[in-house]
Amino acid sequence: MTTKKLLLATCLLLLCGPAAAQTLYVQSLKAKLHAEPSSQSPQIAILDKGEAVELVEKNERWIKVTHGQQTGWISSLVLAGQPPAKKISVMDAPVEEDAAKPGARLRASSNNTAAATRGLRDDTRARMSEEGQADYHALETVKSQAVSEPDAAEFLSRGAKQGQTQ
Amino acid sequence: MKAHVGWVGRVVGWVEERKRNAKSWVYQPSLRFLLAVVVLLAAAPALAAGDTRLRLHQLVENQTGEADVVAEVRFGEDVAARILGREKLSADTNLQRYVSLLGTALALHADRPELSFYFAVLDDAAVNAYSAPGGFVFITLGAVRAAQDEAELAAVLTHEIAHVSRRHIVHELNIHGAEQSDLSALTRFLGASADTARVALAQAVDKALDVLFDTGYNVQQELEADRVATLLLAETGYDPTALQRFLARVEPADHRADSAGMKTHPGAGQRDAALRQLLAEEKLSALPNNSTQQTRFEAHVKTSR
Repeated sequence: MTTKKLLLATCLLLLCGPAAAQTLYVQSLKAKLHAEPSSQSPQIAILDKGEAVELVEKNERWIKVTHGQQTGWISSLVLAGQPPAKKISVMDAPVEEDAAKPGARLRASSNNTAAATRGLRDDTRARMSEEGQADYHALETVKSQAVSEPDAAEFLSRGAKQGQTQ
Repeated sequence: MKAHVGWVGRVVGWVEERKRNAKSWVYQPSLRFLLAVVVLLAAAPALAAGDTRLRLHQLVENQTGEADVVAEVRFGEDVAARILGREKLSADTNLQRYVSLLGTALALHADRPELSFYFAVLDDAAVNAYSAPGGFVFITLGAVRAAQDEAELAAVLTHEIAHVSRRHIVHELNIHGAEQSDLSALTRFLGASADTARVALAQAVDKALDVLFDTGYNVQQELEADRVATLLLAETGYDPTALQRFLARVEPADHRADSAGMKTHPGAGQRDAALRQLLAEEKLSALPNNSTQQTRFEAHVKTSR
């Protein structure tokens, strides 16, 4: 009898489970909350990166969510079940001569991240550069030409304002 | 007897104890029915979410750690350096900055906030664009000049951003073997000092170059990148038809799409049809308030001609 009660309780819990809200987080810089599942439907609100919403229903490309008192649709491209990850900088990850055993899974932690960051060894990179197979100097030039994210965001919003007045 | 730990061990132990019991509950019909209901209910959310369509290594990849992302970027650096070994950078610094501003702005609206994206123009008259894992995107001068407005340039860049964000090259490597995913296999290659691992890494870089310059992405990856790009254009306020019209004008002349060596690459007709279907399903069309930024585009690109 106790077993029956246990299983019945489990059933009830599982039945209640799907009804419990699932929290999703905005991964992109901004996310538009639309009235309908289409980018060209009216905007209800604009959410910032990291803001949480509650899942109501979903289809292939759109997720219906609630955000405070508002309900609308957000592109599934920009929502995920976990808060947005912090920016990864490989510059901060020192290279170590630490051999990983075959089959050993490197987990994410400050201790073993460094061991996973080598890429091709410096001597291999130098040889490939000398032979003309690769150009790591040009790669550094590409990195040095990177623009700041605030400048890029301002560039896009300036364009959007001009577009509205065109 | 197997050793079990934690709550799993306690449950297994309890079940085994009940099995030994003469009045074994699992043989009672009503309880067997209840047990079946429990199993079905437990599986239902995963089935509803379509998770069963994902392979195990894809599920694992959705929860990557910092080490995996660092490996992806390091590997991407080696692939990007090889691209730059074949193609020189354009010397037009104004154009480089313009493309970087546009590309970085679009990447901020994608779903890989942990990556720093880099954009560069290659001094090549052919119409082409490439991307390396981790966020390195290259577009040729020919492709920039083939665009008619900023929305079309944005379309090409978002297509490449989608290849990066969806890790298409890493999946094409098919190196996961006994590992949980291609990405975790790559992480181990990059973390190992053994010669065999270094050879495997060099081979993986070669294979990535083959995908970029020879075999191309597979059909599904190419169509997915087109789909993501168009949706991203729409969400950032650009004309959502920009990729479709760019490809309709440029792709037939692009030898890559129709050459005999590109059998896995979708033809121009297939991409056009898929994009038209997407635009119709999403009720997207070119509207007067869509941004094409033609004036700004011409100010930056025409001066480079």
